[in-house]
Amino acid sequence: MKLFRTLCIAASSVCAGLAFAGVSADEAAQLGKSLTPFGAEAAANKEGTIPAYTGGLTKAPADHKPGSGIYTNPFKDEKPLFSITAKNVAQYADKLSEGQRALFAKYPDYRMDIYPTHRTAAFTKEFLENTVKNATRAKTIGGGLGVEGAELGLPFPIPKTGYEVMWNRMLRSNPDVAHFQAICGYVDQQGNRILSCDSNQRLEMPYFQASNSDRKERMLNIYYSLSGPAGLAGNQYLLKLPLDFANEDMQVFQYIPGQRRVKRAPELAYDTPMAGSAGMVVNDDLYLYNGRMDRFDFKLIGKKEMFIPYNNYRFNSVGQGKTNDEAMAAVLGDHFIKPEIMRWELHRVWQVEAKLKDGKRHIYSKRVYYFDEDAYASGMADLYDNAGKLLLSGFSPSMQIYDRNVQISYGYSFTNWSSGNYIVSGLPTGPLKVGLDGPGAANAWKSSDWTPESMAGRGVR
Amino acid sequence: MRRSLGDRLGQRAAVMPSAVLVVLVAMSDSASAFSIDTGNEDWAVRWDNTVRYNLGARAQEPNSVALAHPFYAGGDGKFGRGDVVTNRFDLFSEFDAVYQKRFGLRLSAAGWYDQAYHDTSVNNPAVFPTGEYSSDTKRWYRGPSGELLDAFVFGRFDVGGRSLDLRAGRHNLYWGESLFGFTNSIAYSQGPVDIRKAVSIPGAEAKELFKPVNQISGQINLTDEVALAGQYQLEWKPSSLPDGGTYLGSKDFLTNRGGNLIPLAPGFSPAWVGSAKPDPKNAWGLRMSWTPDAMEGGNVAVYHRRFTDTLPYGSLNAASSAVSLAYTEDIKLTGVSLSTVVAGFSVGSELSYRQNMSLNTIVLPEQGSQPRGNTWHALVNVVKALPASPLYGSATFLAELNYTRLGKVTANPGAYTSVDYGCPAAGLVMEDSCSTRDAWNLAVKFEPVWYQALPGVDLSMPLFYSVGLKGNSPTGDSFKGGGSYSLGLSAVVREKYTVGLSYNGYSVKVKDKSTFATTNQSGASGYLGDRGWVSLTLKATF
Repeated sequence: MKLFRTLCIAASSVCAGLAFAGVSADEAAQLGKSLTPFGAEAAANKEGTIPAYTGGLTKAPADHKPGSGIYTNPFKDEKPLFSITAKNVAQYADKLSEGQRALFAKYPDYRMDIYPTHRTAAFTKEFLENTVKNATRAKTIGGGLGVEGAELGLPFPIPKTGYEVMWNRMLRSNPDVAHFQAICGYVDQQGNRILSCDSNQRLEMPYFQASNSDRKERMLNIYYSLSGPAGLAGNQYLLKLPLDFANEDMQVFQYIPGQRRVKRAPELAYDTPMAGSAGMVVNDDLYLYNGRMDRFDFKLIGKKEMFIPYNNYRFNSVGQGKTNDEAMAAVLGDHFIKPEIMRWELHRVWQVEAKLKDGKRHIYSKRVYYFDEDAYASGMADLYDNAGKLLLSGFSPSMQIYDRNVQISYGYSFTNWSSGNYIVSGLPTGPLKVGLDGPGAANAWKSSDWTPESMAGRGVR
Repeated sequence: MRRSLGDRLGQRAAVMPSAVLVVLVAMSDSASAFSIDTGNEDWAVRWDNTVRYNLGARAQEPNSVALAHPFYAGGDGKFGRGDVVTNRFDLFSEFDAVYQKRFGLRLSAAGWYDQAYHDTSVNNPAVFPTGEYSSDTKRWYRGPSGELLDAFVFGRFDVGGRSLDLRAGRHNLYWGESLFGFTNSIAYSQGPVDIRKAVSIPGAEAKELFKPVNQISGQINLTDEVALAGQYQLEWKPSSLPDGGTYLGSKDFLTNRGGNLIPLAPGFSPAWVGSAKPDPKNAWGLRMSWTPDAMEGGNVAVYHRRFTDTLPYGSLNAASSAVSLAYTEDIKLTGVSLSTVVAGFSVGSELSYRQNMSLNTIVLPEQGSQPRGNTWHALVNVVKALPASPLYGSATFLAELNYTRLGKVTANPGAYTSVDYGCPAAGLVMEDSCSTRDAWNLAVKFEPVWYQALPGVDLSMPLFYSVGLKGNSPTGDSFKGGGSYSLGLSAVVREKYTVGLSYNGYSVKVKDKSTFATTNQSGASGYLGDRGWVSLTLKATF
């Protein structure tokens, strides 16, 4: 059995094709023992730089006002342990993504402030119970493209294939509803900060709604309406993602202001440039990866230790309540996010590598992802063009929502090595309304509100 | 002596000129957010202003025959090659106040001034005996003037667990799947269109062109898959056409509000009085759509509408010896649309049937004696976004094919200008703008984009072409060989400012270039074959 398991990790494309019925009983029994219930290594690392998992952060700091939608920093008085700069980067190179190393190589003033590692990921009881059950009941189908048998928890706490890790990323613990205003901004080669989206976003995960009859079919519904910049104001987008990507398509709709009509927008997928990104990222770069995984072979490389963004309370709150220009000025440096805004910590991550399949077309020939073993919210991405050169590199900061037991990651940032620009997306400028009840909750939408017809009805412009 | 049938104008002013089509597809770029802080979290108030400047110059020499023709002399002679044909400032202002994201109101208005029409003289005494434009034409072309556009309230109500969206007041609403124009679509005459602005101003916002009209409209999701929408119009307004005698006016006498003459024959120049307002019943429409999960986002919808045409036919009143623009009432439309995705192409399609629709006529029938018939209309279009290639950062491709077919003539076949009805007796053939049994029309747009071509600047090259492929449509909205094209270069700077340069041209088939006795084109487009022009557009929002 052990040999088979090893073979499978090394050659995921083979394994992905098998209707792999979860993991064995004694593997699953490790959940809650040597592994946390969500499959991360429970123990500290040898050097003690990554602590043991002790249940995560479940208590709000004293200065957090419940219902405010602003999550104050529980570690606000902490100072960095050290900083990585071009001078000492060689020492830490094996714990940095290629994109981060490229930033050090190109910009002598790039800096990563490394803070003490806090494994703050905490989840609801329901999530943890279902995650343990998913270990033996969930499986991927259609060569890894879809998920079956999983619900209400992390689908593959003991992932064996690259596809399973990607599904963990897409089905990571998230609030069942989140609603907020966020902006995207990029900096051009001359250092001008330019607003490329001002968006009111609403995300609902039927997958995590126990009372939702759609939860076995629908993974995620995303709705956003843009109020800026000039070229995009009044546009609304609706994306409905299925769990069975093997047999179903993502549905994408766009409301066109002026015409007051909704059009299906299948082009908002794969490698067409994402609206509001000045051509820097493509549609499947949303949240680091979004959409069907059929053009690439996803392989699980293994686990390693890496510096990843974590406990990014500063990043997520610095723009809240500010004007768009103020928020951009506070976060966007000339070539990278201002180092004092970013918090980096050492964590164990899963590494997945995706190679473009023969005969398939995409601007990336290879994509490498690193996801936090605890919550899958923090992540890094390195994306390579058809000549094998690094084209895009980025990361997604995260934040534990300490009064709801979820860890969120709605923002992300990418540097485009071809154009020399970088973009930050999902920077909150208003309160984060998270969850369906309690103070500061987002109000629920009826399932009929998640339709293109409803989007047309909502259009004012 | 009467001139040939082709000379007497009263053709359906149905229009499919490219400028309208380009604009309708133009991305609705508009004002960036200028939100007003009310201090109250429940209210979201936004006031956005878009300022646009257009400078245009004629690129083609006037055709010498057209220049001498009493139908074209004024408009064709106003500006020579190289002259500035538009030097215009436009302001578009929009205001929305939304309460709790559910209720609110919207107001919008447009204002303008065009220095190119500072000189309001026009040289065609046969049409303009005073040598001047009418005050209505001066208002809309020179200005300074303005108009209120949207003025409506809206709300979302909970009805038995379902959301009902309602709008009341001046607003526009267009159904169906058409991308380019609406004359062959289920949305035909669903409200007035500002064709005048569309043709004259490249870069005008789509939302300024669909003119609002006082109505109540609503939509409700009956189930998660089935939605019902309806509209009930409280007033009727005609579409506005480019005024005769201006640069893009089709035929000199064809003005919206009259005040000039129409030279039909030597010694016979009746007054042209412009739009004659009908006394229409309130137009209404219903739409039922079905978005089944099985179609994965695809959608089927059925429609039924009753309306009065917003596009006119020319009508000579023998008693008063005056020609007016008349509008056909009581047209019924039943249609079905299907939108789906096929091989990564977003495909839209429609099939509709109009009863008692007004047909193409150039004989200036008395009001009520216009030819009418049952007609079939079909269209199919595709939209495809293309990812990065060695040639561009991304590109969009759109194409639409339209087909119109006569079912049968239901009234006044003698007045129907068609190769099967009125034309043979008058010795006219298809190329004299006589309708055939059916017609095909194609419009194509391709726009590649280069991101960050310069720091902070995205560049694109919109290319557009439309043409009547075969036949002349029974409803007079597509003519073989007629169409338009534009080639442009557009830069969006810092996501805020747009600079566009474009060449806009028009194609019209002329049967006899030595006399211009007839053109194969409908009323509103007339002869624009020599009006190609270059325009520079600057747009800023704040």
